[in-house]
Amino acid sequence: MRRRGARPAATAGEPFPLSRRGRARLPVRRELRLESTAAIVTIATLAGAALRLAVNRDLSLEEVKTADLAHLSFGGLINHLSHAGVQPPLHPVLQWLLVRVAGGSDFVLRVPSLAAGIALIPVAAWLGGELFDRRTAIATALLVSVAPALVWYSQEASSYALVALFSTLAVIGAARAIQRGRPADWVLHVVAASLAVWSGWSGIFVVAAIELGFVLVWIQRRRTGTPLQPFLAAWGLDTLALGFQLVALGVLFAAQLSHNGGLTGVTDVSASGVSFYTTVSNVSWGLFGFHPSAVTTVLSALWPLGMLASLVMIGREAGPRAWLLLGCALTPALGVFLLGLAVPGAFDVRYALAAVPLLFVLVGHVATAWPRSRLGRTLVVGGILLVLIGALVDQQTDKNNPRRYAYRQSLARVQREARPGAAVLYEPSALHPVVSRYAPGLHVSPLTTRLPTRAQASSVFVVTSFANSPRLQALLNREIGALRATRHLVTRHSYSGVNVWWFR
Amino acid sequence: MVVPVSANALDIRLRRPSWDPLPRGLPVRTRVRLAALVGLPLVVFYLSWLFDPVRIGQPELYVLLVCAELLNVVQAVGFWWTCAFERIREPKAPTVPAAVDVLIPRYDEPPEVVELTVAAAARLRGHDVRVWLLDDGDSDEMRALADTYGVGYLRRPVHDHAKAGNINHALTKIDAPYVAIIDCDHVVYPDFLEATLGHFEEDDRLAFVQTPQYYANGNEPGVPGAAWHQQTLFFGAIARGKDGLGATFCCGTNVVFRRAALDETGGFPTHSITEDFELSIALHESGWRTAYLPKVLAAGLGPEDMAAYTTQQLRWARGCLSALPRILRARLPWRLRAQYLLSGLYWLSGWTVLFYMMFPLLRILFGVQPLAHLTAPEFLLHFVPYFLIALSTAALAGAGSYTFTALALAAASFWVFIVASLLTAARRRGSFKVTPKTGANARQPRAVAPALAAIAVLASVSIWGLIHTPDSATYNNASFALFHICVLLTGCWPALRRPQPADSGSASSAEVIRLQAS
Repeated sequence: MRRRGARPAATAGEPFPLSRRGRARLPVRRELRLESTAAIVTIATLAGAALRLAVNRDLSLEEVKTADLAHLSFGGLINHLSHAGVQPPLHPVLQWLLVRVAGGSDFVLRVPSLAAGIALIPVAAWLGGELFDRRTAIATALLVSVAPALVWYSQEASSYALVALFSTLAVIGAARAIQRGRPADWVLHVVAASLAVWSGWSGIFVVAAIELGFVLVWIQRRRTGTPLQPFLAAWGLDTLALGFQLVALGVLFAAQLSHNGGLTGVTDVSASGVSFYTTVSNVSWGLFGFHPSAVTTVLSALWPLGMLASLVMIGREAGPRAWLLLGCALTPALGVFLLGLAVPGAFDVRYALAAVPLLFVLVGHVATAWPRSRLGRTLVVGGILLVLIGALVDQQTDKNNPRRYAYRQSLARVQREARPGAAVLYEPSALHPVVSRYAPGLHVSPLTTRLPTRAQASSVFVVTSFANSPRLQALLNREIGALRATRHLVTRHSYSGVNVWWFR
Repeated sequence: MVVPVSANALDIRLRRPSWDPLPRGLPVRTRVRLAALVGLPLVVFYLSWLFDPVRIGQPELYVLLVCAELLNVVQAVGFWWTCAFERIREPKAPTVPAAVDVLIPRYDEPPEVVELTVAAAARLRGHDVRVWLLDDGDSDEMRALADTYGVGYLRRPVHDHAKAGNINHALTKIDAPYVAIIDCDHVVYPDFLEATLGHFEEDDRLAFVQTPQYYANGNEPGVPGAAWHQQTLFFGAIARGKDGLGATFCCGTNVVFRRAALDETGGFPTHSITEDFELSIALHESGWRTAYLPKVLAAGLGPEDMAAYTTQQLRWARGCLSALPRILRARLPWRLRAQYLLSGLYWLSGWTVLFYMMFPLLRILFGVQPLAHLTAPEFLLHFVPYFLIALSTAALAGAGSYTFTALALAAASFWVFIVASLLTAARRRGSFKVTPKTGANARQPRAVAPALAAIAVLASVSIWGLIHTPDSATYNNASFALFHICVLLTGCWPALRRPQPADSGSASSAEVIRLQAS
């Protein structure tokens, strides 16, 4: 133990002992201790895990459809995936196994995403530390732990959190392979990149960005005369291993495309294409999560702050690591944007989720590298953290969140109030798996069927979701109008994403 | 032998320059030409959209917007044009011996600043170097200092016409064929004359060789750093481009003149507060040529605080703006006239900042705006590509040296430029105020009071608007206001925070420029 008041010992990089003040004034900032970094990242991970485990929403239609696959036989699952499926097999197979082991509850279905989402916190911190420094690692861990979009997809029984996790790991592997080139680094890259693509088709974007990064490294090393042989050999093997899998996955993708009628069928989401509003919305969703459209409209109006951000960037030099990260983050975003021009359904933040942790690593780096003082760094990181926490609270609690669907609550009420002889109609017709899951005993039929007469049903319940679709709006106007004309509207309940009419 | 400067052994001006006027990698002219190739169609795209009569909202505001945008576009395109003709000169030593008078004009600068300047000038390498301390402060301490270092000392009986009068008086007392002018806060490096004089042998009509005005305190945070980053763009890409176009103008220090050129134009003009700018016009009119050598050959001190910066900017703005009629009347080739106009018109940019700040306020308060039939996507589609290319070109040409803090400092000085243009328009004569060389060592909110007032108005109106009409249009205008607040606050910040002790630094011997005699 050092004696109180004793002169501090010189550390690496210091030719002679410096006072605390003198050390603080060194032009090169000192790295934080590994122990304190690990402690803060662990705390952030635990906090992030608690936030993610506190799921307070029901499965969405897409999740329920995926969950239904877990009840097929394994052969049936593979057969479905190779024909009617819309995704690579890793996530459905994981779900299938979990359901066999632990049952088919909502929580069990979400376990792969929860695990991936929680693991993403230290992994993103690892990336921050790998590319920049420990301060970035800490800031990244804190930001990723509360990043609303990452929390959201960690709680969703879908493959997007897996894609984000494996893409981030692939970037770490690539960065290490470029910097050190050890076999383990290349293995990490190839395994993570493979898992990213096996998890979701959108994983290909980050893989492509990394490959482009390798090409640039090759060009740069050729120019500087750095020995290329070890790099080229490792890269060749890496690409071969990846390419082999991509061929197999490509065959699967082509089969799915063919069966689903092209990309429109595979994307499987009702996004409304590329426009200024949807572009800003997707950026806002990626950074601040999902909020009622009024909030998103306000966020869209804040675009002048983007101009400010571009001005702040002037004169800031970005090193090759920052460019690698930026490239890997922008490629999914740009890819989804371009894809969205051709296939409106593809323009959704979920397909670019892999970009989000990478962007938060960059934000963490900027927030810790640009302010000169510790107070400045604390204020900037704290400010961003507060904004994200506010956005997270709103996302998780606002019942007008457009991505929230209160199926369990609404259908439970219908089930409670629908006496024998009541008719329960639902729309859209794709809602059937949801109704079957949350109100299994309920006798239901689509709204498109003929409306029951008074003799056929004493009361009629109409359950609708996705009411923003013009087709559904037209149908509702017609059918609800007809019911209003012939029956008495007892009540109308609005739940998150679900409306219930009760006619007698 | 090392210069025996007892008190200044750790003077920041002795440090090896941390800035290289020549960026590495692709030449700036290539970068800018490529950017201009993309940028010019984008400028046309944006302006054709802006000038569509259907865009006219509130007519008076529309006119103001168009004026502001035209000034910006002219500056941006002028910047591309200048940088696209970049010329990089190399140091060139003289082949025949030549005598040089080195003039150090001094007004009220303290001895601790002047001493090192004199000491360094006394050690300039050259065949026949005669150093003169031109003391307009009538200080016996300065006379003693000149004696100590064995340099000439000149004092004049009548102190009229400030620095120009001081130099002109000296010109009557000296006779070397070359005259170097070094501000009394600039430590000139021993090879200054060796690097510059050779250029005069190449060209008989070369009037002067200008070298960068490097701020040794440019690494300090706050005003010196931001002011230096503004300088880097000028003494980097712009000055090299002006040299390529033959339009280099004298910047008042670190410059070597051919005596014959000065004699032909009657010395420095005494009616202007930017005598160097006006002298350059006169020289170009008389058919003399000018050159810029992009090599740091002297280290000076930039303004240490906001008051000093404001004083400097007001003088430069008034001088350059008052030269505009002279530029228009001058018998200059169009290329030179355009270059001088670009330099002069820059100082009107304070008005553009004012207009841009006004627009969101008027929209929130009265619902009026300059543009009509406007949607955010349409505006962004036309404006953002031009904005980004203009910004990227500045970043590419500056090679990372031009920073947000430099831009913010200029924006926060908008009122200085407005005051300068109003005083110029009112034909009020300005007096030559020397930029203070030492900081006030105190907060200076008064030096940024107009910018702080603008921040207060922007914030108040935005909050009022958000409370009364919290719709997306108000949010949009409030975020524009926030944009301006952030820029202004960044610019004002150095004046508001407690001054940091200057980094007098303990430069190691490896970092220090050795002022050795050959």
